[in-house]
Amino acid sequence: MGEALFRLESVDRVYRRGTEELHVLQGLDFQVDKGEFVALMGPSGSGKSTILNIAGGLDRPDLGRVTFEGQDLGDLSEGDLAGWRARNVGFIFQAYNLIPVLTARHNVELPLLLTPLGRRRRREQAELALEVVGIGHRSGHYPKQMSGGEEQRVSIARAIATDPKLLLADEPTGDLDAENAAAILDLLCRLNEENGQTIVMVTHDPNAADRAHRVMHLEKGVLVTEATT
Amino acid sequence: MRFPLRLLIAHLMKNWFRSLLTLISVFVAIAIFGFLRMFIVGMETSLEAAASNKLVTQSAISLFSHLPMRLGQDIADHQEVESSCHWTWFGGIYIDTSPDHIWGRFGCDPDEFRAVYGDEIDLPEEAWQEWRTTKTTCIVGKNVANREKFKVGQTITLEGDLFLGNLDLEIVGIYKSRTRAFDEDTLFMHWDYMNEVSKQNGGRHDRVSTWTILLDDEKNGPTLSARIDAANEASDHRTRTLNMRAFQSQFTSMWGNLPLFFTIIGTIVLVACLMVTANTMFLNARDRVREVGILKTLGFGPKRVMMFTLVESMILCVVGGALGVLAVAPMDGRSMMFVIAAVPPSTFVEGIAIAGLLGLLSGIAPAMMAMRLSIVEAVRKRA
Ligand SMILES: Nc1ncnc2c1ncn2[C@@H]1O[C@H](COP(=O)(O)OP(=O)(O)OP(=O)(O)O)[C@@H](O)[C@H]1O
Ligand SMILES: [Mg+2]
Repeated sequence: MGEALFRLESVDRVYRRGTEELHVLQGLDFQVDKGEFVALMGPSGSGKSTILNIAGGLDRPDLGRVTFEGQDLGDLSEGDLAGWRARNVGFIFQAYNLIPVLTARHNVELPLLLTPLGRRRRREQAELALEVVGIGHRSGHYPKQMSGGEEQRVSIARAIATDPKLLLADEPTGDLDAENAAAILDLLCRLNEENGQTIVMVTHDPNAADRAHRVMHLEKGVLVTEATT
Repeated sequence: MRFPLRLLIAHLMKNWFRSLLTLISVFVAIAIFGFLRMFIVGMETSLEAAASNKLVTQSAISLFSHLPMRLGQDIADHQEVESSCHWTWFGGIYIDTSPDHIWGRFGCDPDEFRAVYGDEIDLPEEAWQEWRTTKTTCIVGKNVANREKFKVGQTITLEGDLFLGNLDLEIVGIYKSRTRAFDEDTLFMHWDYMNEVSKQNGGRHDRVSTWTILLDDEKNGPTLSARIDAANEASDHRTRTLNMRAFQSQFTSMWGNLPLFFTIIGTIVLVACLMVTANTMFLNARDRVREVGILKTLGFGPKRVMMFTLVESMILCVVGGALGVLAVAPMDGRSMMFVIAAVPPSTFVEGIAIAGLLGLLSGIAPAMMAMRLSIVEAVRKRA
């Protein structure tokens, strides 16, 4: 095992609906090392997104600890956690989640606003990220002028623009056709292989999972290692 | 703190119609506020600016009754009187009786007038000289000149109503006021001329509205006014002598409860406007749940998203408010219904502060919602 990037230790996440309690995660342990590409699979409603959200500091566990490079995220205030996210995590969603009123480039520039970079450097950095995902020529277009595959590329560009240590992708190919899905997977693999980018990806697609180093299966709140390549 | 400024602009543009309506509603509300305020402030400032070394003698019956001209000599004879000047309301018609052509017209004696009011107005020396030497000349205030497009050298005709006969008057000067107590909406001519023409036409004559007295020392005011009034007590022309502030307050008191009424109206308008702006901000917040979730995901913290939401509502309101006060600014110094309207810098500050408060009140709830919004819920499913 390599050096741990983040670790979930005995994590519980409970949703309460009235008096009813839904234990989504119970005593869950999960570690991801630097440079790994991990796929997370499991039936719908099993808590895959919940794990991703907790690892990325979008949600907090009810019990247990989350550490990132040894730092306990539970010690951070909401504001500090946001700053931590800005520096360390890039998110990719199934629904792309681009901001419709901004062009591709301005979408990518958004997280760069939270860095010390000046206006010019932000622009250059955003354009570079768009080049990396192969969509530099569409930088002035709005999300509604693009196909799903293109939108997802822009959202990947936005996620990698600040060069985060961790990339979290929640079913990034879920809304795409086979061809576009393959292209997005190629892109993620390339980022992992060429830049050593740590990636955790939730997917329902076994072919997609095959591209990862490690596939974890989540069932009834328990994680099982399914395969390692 | 860095803001996604471009996003802010994109929002304002995307919802331009909604933004514009909100801006206009704040504009209108603050313009109404400024409009009402300029009368109230105008009354206050003209009273504050009223000279304390001046008295006014008027008829005890009413401000609009006349006194015999000969009384002037008795007044001037008091040793506390530094100088005095009579004013007579000519009234009359210029062109027609529409509000555009209604402004003050008074007859006086130019030399006396200068002795008493020389400090309160600016008029070029040649104008003073020409006015005093030629009986058929007059001077007009800057506002009248602007409104009627009067030029120096022009001759205008006033048709008498209280005093009879037509007066042809050559304008020899345009004066500016140096104080808030003296308006720029008046014409001054020779009393001798209007008196003579009226007499020839069988109209009233040898009558005067008021005397203004310049005191040698302001502390002599109360005793002198008592003495003047006592001297005329038994006559058929009883007088009432007031200090300038009391004299001016007769005009403002004609407004009765209007200032209070104005304050109530102004407040109601502002509250109605708050409903409009708050509604806009709620609509915006509702449209942007996912977007706030995205911003937070990217690392924009709770304070930032709160400020971001607030800034938008503040911008709309403050811009609308600033335009609103700017719209009433040109009314500053205009005399309307016996009051010199005032739009001092403090009204700007008040107007913009109220607009800012509208922005704050209407943006605060959506801003708190944005701050507290759970990211997971916001970005969960496709919109
Ligand atoms: N805010 C919430 N309130 C109540 N229950 C919730 C809430 N968020 C998630 N859940 C429940 O928690 C469980 C896990 O949700 P999660 O989104 O992590 O599942 P998932 O494995 O990502 O599913 P999918 O494959 O459908 O995306 C589900 O049963 C879901 O209904
Ligand atoms: Mg999910």
